[in-house]
Amino acid sequence: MDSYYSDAVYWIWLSEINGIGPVSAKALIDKFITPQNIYKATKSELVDISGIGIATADTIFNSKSLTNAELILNKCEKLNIRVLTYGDSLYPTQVKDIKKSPIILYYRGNLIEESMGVAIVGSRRCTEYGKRLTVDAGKFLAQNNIPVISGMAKGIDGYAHTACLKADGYTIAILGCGLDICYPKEHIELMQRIIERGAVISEYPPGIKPDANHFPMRNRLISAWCKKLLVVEAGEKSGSLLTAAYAKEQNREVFAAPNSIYIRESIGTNKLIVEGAKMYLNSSQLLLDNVRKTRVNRKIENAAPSGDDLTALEKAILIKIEDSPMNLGEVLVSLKENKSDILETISIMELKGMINNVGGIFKKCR
Amino acid sequence: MAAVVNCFALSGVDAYVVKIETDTIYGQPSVSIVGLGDASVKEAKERLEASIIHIKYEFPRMKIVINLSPGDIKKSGSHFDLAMAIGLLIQSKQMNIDEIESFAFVGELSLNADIRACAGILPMAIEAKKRGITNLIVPKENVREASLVKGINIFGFEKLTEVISFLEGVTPYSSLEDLKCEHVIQKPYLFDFQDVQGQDAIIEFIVATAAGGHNLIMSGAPGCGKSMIAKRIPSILPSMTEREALEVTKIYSVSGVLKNKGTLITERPFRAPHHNASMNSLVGGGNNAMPGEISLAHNGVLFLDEIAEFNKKTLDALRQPMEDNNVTIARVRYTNVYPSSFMLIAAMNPCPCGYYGQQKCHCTDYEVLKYRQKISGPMLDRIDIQKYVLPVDFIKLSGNSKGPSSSELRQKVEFARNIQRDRYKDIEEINSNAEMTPALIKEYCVLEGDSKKLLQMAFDRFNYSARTFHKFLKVARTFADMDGAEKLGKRHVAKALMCRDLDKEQVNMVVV
Repeated sequence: MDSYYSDAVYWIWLSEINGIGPVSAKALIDKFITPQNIYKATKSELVDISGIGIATADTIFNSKSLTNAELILNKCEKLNIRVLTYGDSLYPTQVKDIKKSPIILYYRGNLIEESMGVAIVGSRRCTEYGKRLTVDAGKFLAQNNIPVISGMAKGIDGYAHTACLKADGYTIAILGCGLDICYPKEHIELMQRIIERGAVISEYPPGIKPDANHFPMRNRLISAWCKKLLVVEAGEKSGSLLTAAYAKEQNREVFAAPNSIYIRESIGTNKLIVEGAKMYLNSSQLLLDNVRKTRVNRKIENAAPSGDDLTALEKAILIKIEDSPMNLGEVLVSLKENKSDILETISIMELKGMINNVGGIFKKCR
Repeated sequence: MAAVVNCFALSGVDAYVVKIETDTIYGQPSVSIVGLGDASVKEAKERLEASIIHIKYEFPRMKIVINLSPGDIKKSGSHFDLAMAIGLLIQSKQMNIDEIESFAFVGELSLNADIRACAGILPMAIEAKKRGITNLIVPKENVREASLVKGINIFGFEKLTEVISFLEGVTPYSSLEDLKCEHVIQKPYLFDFQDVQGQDAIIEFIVATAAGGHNLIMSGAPGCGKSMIAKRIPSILPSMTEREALEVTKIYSVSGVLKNKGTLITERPFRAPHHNASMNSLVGGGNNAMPGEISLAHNGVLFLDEIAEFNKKTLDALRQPMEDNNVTIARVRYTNVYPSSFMLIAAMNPCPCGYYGQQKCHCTDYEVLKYRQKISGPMLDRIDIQKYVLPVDFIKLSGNSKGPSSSELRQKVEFARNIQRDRYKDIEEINSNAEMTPALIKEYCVLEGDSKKLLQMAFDRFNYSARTFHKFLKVARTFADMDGAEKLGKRHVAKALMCRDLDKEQVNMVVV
């Protein structure tokens, strides 16, 4: 039995005691240094600590069975889940500083030294605008070696992780359930990739199912784990607003993406701006002061062909779809050229990356 | 000695001769029908007794045994009634006919001795001719269907008494009406592409689909005109040859769904089963291993609307018939083979909510992919062309322009099909570009000039698989044929590259 194992058992034991929250646990740790000492402490020693009443001391004293903790640890071992304790150096100090941050976390994957980064959160049902913004931001952060933190939910969260992974970035997903469970199920592949290239973290031991009560806790951890928070889209009662509230409480910088006042998904974000969140206008706002390791391995940009080498028809098509995207039928009707010529030209333009076909509607590539 | 009368039974789309042997034996009065008949055959004895008594003939008070030979094949249907009645009358010496073996009888009897129509007359008439049976007696309603077969005497009657008096030579047969002119009447197809407005873009590809015998999947928001287009596809397919028409009519005859009292089917069939269709209803099967929708769509169009809603297993069952152009329905006692050479036209929504690409769509990319993956890879593999159909605000753009008419489009299709017919005339089982094997693709799809570079560009940009390469070549071949071009030019390849709307999108999806 190595020291990690013997240590972890006591940490888990402490975290699993009913009635001992992170605050009192931390008070105990401050005094006793290790949970093992708490385990061995006498009742009078426990009561001596400020914040620990007789009732709490009784609870600790009466739950001196390690069976449950060993069970959890065995499960972790099997599932390749590691335990990150409050004493661990990988546990970011800035997260430790938060009063209610858990004394123990479970994680899969690799935690790096500077794992704190920028969190991107938003609604599950997002618009094309939100998706585009998220993907751009995720990619930008990855290119600047800033970890992307999010909650692996559908929609914005998923896009943020995916965009980051696609740009070879480091990303952390913080979940509201045990790490043996993938929630939502559809992200099983994404979870696998995050584990390979980053880490998934949860304060819940394996086997705990996702629960509505868990998500606020998870949101608090997301906001704790970031230096800056970007809220992309949030409805009126979105959980992302809660994340933003926690972030404010924890002194994290909050950015919100402005959007139309007529769209349901932006009620929350626009409100955040009114309440003092910074307006997100370009991705450089997300840069962190201490991270200056911009990767220079940018691909050679597929520069859009300049106007000179376009044929007359190509120009005409671009002008047509510039302002309002059109479908093929509309392009054909609005141009008087030969149908076959237009089809051929559009096909080639698409190959050259000048235009894009989404859902049958042609848009000019940005 | 037992009386022997000819009748037929069906096996698949073909009929075979059944000898109905009737014997009367001294003993307890009873009727037993042997020869593996099902309930509908066994119940014939009640109809037999009632109708014979109804026409004031005597039903023998003896032990009657009726044997349907060959006795080891299961038979079903009520069309044996007439032959049984004739056999019984002959056996009980109430009737006398010379050369009974040159006759065959098909028809169901009512309790009042009327003769009722039945299914499968066409293949029976074909079999009769093959076996040298010169006179075929059928229900009046089926005369037209039977007389599609030339060189055999067809007699149609309404009542059992008429049959008897005809056979005894009392009343000569009077042809009911002139049957000949009936065959040439060709109804104009109800749906015309002229009605489809503002969809010129997709029509170009529909024509290619029809011209090359490709399969097509249309994706689009609800109500954008997918079904409207699909319904009109049969109208641009080349008209059926007589052989094809007969094949189709035979299948419909066997299934008992022949309309218009059995005239030859000259229109290409269009079948659109609902997406809750069971596997057996689609590929064929059931109690008597009847033809399914894919056989009813033989030589025509099978339209699967909302293809993503079909049961995955049901859909995958279509794979083998699509490959082989026929389907083998195997049951323990018999095996039926039905032809199933159809053009698959499928329609689906692009995403669960149906409005992908539009503002109101909030589906995540993962959900979109998942929805599309409901159609299995091998199935999609058999569909060469995938196109978006979009609602067009044509009034805003063009006023009231009429689309091209079906007959115009059909000319294009026939032009391309003729080229293909010449090209593949020496190659067995290949009639269209869609059926080309890799070896043939290599031989006939020669890329010209810049077209190779174009393909390379497409593959670099959209990460297509190697097998998609062949699809592009096949479709490009069709576009070239429509132009009458020998080699695949840049234009043809460019158009072919526009046939994978759904695949292209996949590249831009944000999923791991």
